[in-house]
Amino acid sequence: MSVASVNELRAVPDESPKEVRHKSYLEEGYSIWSWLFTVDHKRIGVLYLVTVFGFFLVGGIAAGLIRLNLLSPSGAILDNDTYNKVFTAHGVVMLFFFLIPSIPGILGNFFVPIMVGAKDMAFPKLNIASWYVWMIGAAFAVWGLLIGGIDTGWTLYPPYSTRSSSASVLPGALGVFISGFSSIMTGLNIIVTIHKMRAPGMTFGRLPLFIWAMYATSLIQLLGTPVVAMAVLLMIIERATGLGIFDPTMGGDPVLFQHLFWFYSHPAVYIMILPGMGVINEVITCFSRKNIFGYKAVAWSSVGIAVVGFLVWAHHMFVAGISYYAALLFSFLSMLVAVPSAIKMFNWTATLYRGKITFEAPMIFALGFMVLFTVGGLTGLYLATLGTDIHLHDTYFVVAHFHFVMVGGMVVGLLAGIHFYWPKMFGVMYSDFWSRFAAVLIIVGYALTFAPQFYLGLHGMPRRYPNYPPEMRVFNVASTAGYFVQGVGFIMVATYLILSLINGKRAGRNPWKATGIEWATESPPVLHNFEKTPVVVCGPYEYPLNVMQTGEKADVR
Amino acid sequence: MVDHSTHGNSHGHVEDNPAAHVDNVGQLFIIYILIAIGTVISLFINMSPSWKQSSVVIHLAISVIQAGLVGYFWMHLRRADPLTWLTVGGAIFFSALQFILTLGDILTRHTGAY
Amino acid sequence: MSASHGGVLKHHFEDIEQQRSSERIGMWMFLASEVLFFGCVFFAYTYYRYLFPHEFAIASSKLNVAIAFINTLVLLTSSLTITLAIRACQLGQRKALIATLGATVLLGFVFTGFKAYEYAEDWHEQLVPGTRFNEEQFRDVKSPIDPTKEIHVDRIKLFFSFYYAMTGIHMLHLLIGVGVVFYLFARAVYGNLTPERYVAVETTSLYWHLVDVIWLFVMPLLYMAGPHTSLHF
Ligand SMILES: [Cu+2]
Repeated sequence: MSVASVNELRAVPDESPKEVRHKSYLEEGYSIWSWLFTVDHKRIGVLYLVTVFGFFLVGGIAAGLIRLNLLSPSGAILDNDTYNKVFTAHGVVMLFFFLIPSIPGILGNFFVPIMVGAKDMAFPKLNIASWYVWMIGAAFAVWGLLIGGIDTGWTLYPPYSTRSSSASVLPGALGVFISGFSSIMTGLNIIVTIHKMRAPGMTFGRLPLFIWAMYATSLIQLLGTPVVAMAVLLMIIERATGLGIFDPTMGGDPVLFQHLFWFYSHPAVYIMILPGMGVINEVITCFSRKNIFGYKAVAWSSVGIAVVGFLVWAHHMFVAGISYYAALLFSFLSMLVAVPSAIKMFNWTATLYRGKITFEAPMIFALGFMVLFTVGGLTGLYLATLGTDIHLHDTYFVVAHFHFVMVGGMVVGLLAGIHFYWPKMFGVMYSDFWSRFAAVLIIVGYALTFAPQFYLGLHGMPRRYPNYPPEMRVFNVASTAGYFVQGVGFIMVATYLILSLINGKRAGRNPWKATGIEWATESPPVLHNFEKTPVVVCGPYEYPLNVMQTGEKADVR
Repeated sequence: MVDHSTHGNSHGHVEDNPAAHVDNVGQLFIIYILIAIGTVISLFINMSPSWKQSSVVIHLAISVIQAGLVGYFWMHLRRADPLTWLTVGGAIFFSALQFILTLGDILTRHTGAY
Repeated sequence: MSASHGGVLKHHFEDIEQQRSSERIGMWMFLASEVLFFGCVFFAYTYYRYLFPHEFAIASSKLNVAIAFINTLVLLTSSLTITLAIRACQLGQRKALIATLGATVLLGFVFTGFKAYEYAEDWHEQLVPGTRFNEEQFRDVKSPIDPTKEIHVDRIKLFFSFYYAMTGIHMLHLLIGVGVVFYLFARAVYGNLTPERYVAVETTSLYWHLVDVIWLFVMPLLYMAGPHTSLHF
């Protein structure tokens, strides 16, 4: 995109904004069909919002069953077979139908076009198609979970998945396969939008860092997802036809599946964390009223994570019989990925330094993200280290590590984003007190749920087991208690967000006095996002100057 | 970076000329014949009495050249922008990563400490 | 602005070149995704061929290289015709456009026909593992690489698993391509494919070429992993 000269940009006449109120995207139609057949990226974002949180509820209930069962050393409520199915349901639903589509689907769809100053995604029809494809995949997976359940764990390793007795692996795997294409479609759409749809003046150096993070995420979705699709397809073929692609008794190699699977599924954890990191940039700068420290470093560290993330996958296979030398190499490469993550963390900390920090709910979530993600990230180094991983592999240490990253990172990041952007998405404010309270509760709940699991894992409690030695009970009970603390927090979030839709006070264009271009339009935005194509004059975080990307004062409206 | 940017902000009417870049038919046919010759050579190598396991290298070299011709001329990479080249390069790079790193495991298995 | 292009410009684009370059790069990125998709199965194939070169050579010699050769030329010709279709569309030569798109569809069907014939032949020769496979025919076969090696029939079946998986997925892609090209053909007949809309033909041709390129790798890898001594049908 070309940059017009600043003088020309300033010449845009300053019309008073309050005279004409345009119809918002929510008022464009009220029938169910106006939602189901929409091609508006904002409505698609809302469709994702509803369905993604539906799956979060399902996965959360499964998690509750797991935690309840572990209240007693011998398994409190479930028999062993059911336990296998429940933790698989938790994994499949949370990963493929909650975490992966969460921020790209909701905030990515809603805000990428707005934040680059476009009227819509590059391919609006592809966009709605991606939601339908995702729903079809979800329907298959739910069908598989209902008609008998999958008991292989979310990783679908053969020969569990190809020779196991449970009959419903096929629909579940098909669901994963199909929903993968939705992920590719979303990623492709976002990349093309970022490249081709930027408003005049929106150079790459002025893109909000959320956009950079979404760009890196989409890169992984585009290049990683097809590999797991093929791996799962080969597994499906093996299961359906009795061929022996991964079956050692027929010449196949099950470790090959793990290679192909993790080639995607390790980068996939960056699909789950990068968008969360992107949101944190927006929130931290806004509530400390400071420009981001080291814009370029943060932007390129996103791309760095996406690329280096593709080099590390075999750290999941250190004890699966891979070669000694490959394990060494992958151990080294895995530690490398800590570098860009640390760059982000240091830059955020530097951004906070001497900022005018206020503790609104999004900020509490963002700070919680920084703490929980740091714990999750640093414990990841234990697992990347070849020697310690031999001991910690497949224990609760791993479970605690990735929940700190995925839940403490991405879910908290998602909540930060939802709270930050809720006024923009729906034009209403939620309860200030209850949102701060819920934020603290959820973060404390997370820490209480997963911190004890580090101890359990270190002392050898294996993951996926329905029972454990009685000495470990106190930690398991603490973990279960943490689950319920979180649960209360989530119910509170759901309650005040829904209530805000009914009687929340109008938010106005820019309730946080933020400087991003997305705050320069109506809340909720009009059908084509801006009354006329915006012209961008500066970077996204000019808080010290109090200037929005459009050149207006940030604290006027 | 994108060619439309040169006139993206000019408010005057931009003359659209779909026929600005058309292929030369003769050139297309020459490429066609070259690729076909490659396939014929491949077949001859496969059917020659001196077939060896290592002839796969020649086969793949021919395929790479053929793919290059298709990409460069028929898919118009020769007048593509840097972003398109980056996309092609990215696809090849990440595919190569998968091959190299996984083969790194497979080729070194059953040696050394194990 | 939108009126100046006869409704070709979609509302969310500023100008026609932005729209064209978006559609072009969108297709390229999809193709990048496809390269990784096929790369995965190519890798799995490479791995097993590295492990079991003797069985793979024996199994490959069973395949009909003559049909594969003809099919390569068919696909190649179809790639040429669809490239000519872009030119015809750009220049507004409607008859040439209809002819080239029609030829592309036709050649797609010819390819599919030959492939179906080949599958039927494989079925008769009892080369379908899991359903119809005659292990006896491999009892005394020697490896063309090293005749002293012991041969395991399971690994021959593994080759055929990849043969069906790879050619099957490729053919599925081809059939999708035939569908899209047929849609363009119908639009051309209807007179809707005007020169301003040539990018529709161009992006479709990109996909078609990729399917062609994948075949250019599938053919030597699957059909030429073992020697052939005669061409027959
Ligand atoms: Cu990993």
